[in-house]
Amino acid sequence: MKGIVKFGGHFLASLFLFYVIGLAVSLLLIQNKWLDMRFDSEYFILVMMLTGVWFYFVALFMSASHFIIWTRPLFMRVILPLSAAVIIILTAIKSSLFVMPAYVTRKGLMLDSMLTLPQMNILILVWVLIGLLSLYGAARYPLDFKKSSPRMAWSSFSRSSRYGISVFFILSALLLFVYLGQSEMQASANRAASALMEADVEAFRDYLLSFGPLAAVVSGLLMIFQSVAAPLPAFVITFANGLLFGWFWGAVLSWTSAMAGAVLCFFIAKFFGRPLVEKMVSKRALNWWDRFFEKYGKHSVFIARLVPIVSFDLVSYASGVTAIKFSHFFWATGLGQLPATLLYSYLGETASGSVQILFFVFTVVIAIAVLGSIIGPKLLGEKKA
Amino acid sequence: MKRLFILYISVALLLLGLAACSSNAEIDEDNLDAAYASSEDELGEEKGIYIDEENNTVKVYATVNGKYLSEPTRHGLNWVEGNYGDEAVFKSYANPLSFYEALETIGGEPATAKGEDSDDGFEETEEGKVIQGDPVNVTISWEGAEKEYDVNEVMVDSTGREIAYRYGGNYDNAKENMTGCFMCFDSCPVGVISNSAQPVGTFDDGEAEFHGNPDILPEDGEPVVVTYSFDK
Repeated sequence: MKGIVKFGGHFLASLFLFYVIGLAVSLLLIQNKWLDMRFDSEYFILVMMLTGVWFYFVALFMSASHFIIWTRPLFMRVILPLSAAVIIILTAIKSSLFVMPAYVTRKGLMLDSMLTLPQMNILILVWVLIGLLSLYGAARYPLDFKKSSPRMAWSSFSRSSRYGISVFFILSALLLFVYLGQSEMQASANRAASALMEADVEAFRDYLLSFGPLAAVVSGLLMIFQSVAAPLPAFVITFANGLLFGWFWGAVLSWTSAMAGAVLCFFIAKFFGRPLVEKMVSKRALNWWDRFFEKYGKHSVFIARLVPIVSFDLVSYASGVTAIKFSHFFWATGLGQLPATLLYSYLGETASGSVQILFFVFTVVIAIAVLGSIIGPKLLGEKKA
Repeated sequence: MKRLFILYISVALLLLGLAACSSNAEIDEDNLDAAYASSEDELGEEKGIYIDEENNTVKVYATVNGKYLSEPTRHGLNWVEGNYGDEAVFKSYANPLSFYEALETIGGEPATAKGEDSDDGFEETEEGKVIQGDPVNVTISWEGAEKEYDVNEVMVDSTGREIAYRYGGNYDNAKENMTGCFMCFDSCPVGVISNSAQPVGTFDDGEAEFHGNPDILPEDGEPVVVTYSFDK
């Protein structure tokens, strides 16, 4: 029970510290009226509180004691009082002490339709009391890490991996902030995600067209983005490129951007190393790749690229942690993805939306049949053995 | 680490799902009447516009946005689902295209009608481009209000100029940009009505600031009815 209170207290202390800093920065950003007319800075609170959650869990599960900033004198005696002073001064000047903090918090935490400003003010008052008590308790009763596994310890990661993970989190937080705060970008991202997830090639073509001369750039960036981070179907982009730019230039664009995405994944994997890639593509998938690589050796990348059902991202990430030379990976990927890219671009230019999807389904079924007949019995045989 | 990664991926997938599922603001142009209430009593979030043909007025249901009673803005009234739905003194729940049609129904002539080029809806003056179109009277009332307030009593222009709204129209721009603008504080090529007393770009250039009057307007979230009419 005592442990729960202690861990809970640290969690609340972390949330509260980041909340106060987030509120102060949000209010400062709102003072810029140009920005305020184009960006909902209120969501900075949410991003900061998520950062607080991240700091807490990294500290707790990875024994990263220096992440416990909510007990450090610099934050307790300087940053926290400074943030509180910013909040009070900015709102006192405009006589909005009982409006703006409640408004910004309510909007930042997406509670607009649930609470009135007076209700939000009461909640903030309670939250401030709980937060201050938690900060006091956290300073008095420090966390101990006796139960943390040494394998998961933050210090067991290489310096570059630690920086990499931190940069990854910061970029994700920034992306989330921009997505939530900028309505037009949010609408644009929603349209792209919706068209891709529904495999609506024509809607995606229209989406790209809305960028005018930048259509090719946006298409390329989306292809790279989907390669690295998002489980979105790349074939929709390839179809749409064929539809929009013709089969030849569409194929050039799709091939080039997919190559850029593959190269980026390859180096991300090299940079972060096997433990992280294992977490990204799953240990099982990486083991499968190891067996595949063992069997087909230097031809494995080329073969995997030819078969459309093998995840493009898996091969790129897994190759980065396998003994494959970059030059070999590059050419094998380039040649291996060429037939499918040409086929999809051609279909994109010539076939209508529903026919395109049928062709894709047909291709996948054929691929599964071919792959199943070649690899299936061997894999089953391995298992039996 | 694995738990963290699963958490991260779950959040990313959730956001992606939200992005894919959340609907972007879209207006059904064939069904603009859907926003019209059949009586003033029916006005609300569902039916945000009432056309009072007897008195030749358009009434719009809105709620007060407490933020812009103290912070400056260039938006007087915006549709909540528009890209700038949260950046106005008043939030409307009906779309700007229905509002455009409603003003036309009571006899207003826009500077830029449907299908016309919005550049033609301005007059070049020494100060800059100023919106044209029929002058619009704007009054605001709410439950418990002492009277029907003129827009100049409830809105503050830092330069002290009186707001002079005109029916700019801008149907096509409103449809294309989806900003949700009903009523702008300076002349605007997107807002259905905008202020001819301040040229285009006044707010962005820092020459004037606008906000609601906190001494008169009700608190954040309180409903108001904004009434529009033409001197005809």
